[in-house]
Amino acid sequence: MIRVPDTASAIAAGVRDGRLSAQGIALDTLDRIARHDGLNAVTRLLGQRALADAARVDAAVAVGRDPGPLAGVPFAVKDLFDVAGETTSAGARQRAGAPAAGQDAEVVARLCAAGAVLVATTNMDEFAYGFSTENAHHGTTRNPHDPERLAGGSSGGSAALVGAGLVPLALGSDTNGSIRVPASLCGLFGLRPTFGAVSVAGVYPFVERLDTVGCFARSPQDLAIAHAVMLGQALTPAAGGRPRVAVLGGWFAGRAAAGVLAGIDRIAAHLEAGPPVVLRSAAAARSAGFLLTGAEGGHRHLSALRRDAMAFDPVTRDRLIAGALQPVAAVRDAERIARRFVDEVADALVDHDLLLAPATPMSAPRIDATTIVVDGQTLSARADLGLHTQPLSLAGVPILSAPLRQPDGTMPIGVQLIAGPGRETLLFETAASLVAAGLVACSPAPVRAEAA
Amino acid sequence: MTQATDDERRLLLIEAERLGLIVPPAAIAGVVANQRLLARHYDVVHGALADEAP
Repeated sequence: MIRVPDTASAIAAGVRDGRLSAQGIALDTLDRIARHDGLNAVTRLLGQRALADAARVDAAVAVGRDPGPLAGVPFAVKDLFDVAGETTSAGARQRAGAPAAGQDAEVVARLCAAGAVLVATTNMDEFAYGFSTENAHHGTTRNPHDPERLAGGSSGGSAALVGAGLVPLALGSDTNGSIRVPASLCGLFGLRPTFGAVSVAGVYPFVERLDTVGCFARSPQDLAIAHAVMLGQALTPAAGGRPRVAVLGGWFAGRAAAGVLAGIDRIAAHLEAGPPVVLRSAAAARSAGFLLTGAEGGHRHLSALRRDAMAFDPVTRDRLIAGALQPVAAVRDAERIARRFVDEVADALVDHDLLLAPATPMSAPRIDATTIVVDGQTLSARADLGLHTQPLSLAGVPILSAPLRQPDGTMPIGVQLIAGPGRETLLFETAASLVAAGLVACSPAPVRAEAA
Repeated sequence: MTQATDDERRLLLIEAERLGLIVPPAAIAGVVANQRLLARHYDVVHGALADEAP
């Protein structure tokens, strides 16, 4: 058994200079994931492919060729990314008979070309419609910090694997918060990139006007490296000078646990934030996101629902049918609110470089909880996990969920760092500075200690 | 989950039929619950638009 470093950058450095073997890391990773199947994070281990890819990386190192910036780094992908030779399930049993993908999704291919080694596909809410990774076909993914609690969703399998320290990188998709919510609940860094910046080719769609793909990692540096590879270009440093920062008030301050608001206040003080900014249409934008998602999701799956509605996960089926049945007026009005909210966010980002908001209103709910009282209000322990992520998705801006530093034994919770389109580098640099200041930290999960 | 009323069931089946969809009996209560949730969200959207009306 080898000691695999915690971060992608440390693994790649070891493989590139020959101290570590990519094949050894792949074998160890596959073995540890198999031993921790209680998390229920994985839908498929890709052992044969992983070992073959790792052998190619080692061979490149042996002959002095550049193996790439992610040499030998094991990673996993949510089971909606095409993987050559495998059926993309999108978390749905009814897709079991679909043809296997002919090639990898573009971002998967880019990561592999950079030397990363794909080891597994991961559990998700069926068709990415949910915030909890409770799947009627594959079961519920457990939070690595407490297996009695949700990992969040819909990219929960990917987040749980990274949170447990079983892989340093994993891919998810974020339509309404499906990277940011599980990143918050599992205590990770997770990026929803600028809408349209990273290719979604070969990724099973949910709501095309909102779909993005991004990465989970245990450090902002790893997130930046993976983002650059997925983007296909080197990142340029953010413009100098102190960023102009504000906390989002109103909707984003009124429905959140005291701990997350206190953590955001500490970050705001450190970054010398100005007065809070209120986005007047935030509540309506959250509702608009709900309506638009239901409508597009419902119509996407309408023909399959006509054929065999009972093949769906019951929870997804009922959401999709209700979504498809919405009146046109509801969709039209939701579009008007979405446009108004996009303008409000754009205006706020004229005077500010960075906005701060909770990533989730609460830390991970217990799996058996249906509601949670936060700030004196009873919230759904499922749908309301996206209270603070869902409206911001409409704006198409890049958002990094960073884990607040917490006392030992406290369940993790994250903060959203929000910047203007194309300003991901500012997010990575800010997150790294917050780590250095001790305000943000990826805390080890108990299961991670066992995994080591 | 509160039971769907007879009116809600009837309306759901009519709306679904227009889309060529047969709602399985097992789905009716869940779909109606989701319709109520969407209706509450639509109220929020509608209210916000009404606030800006001249």
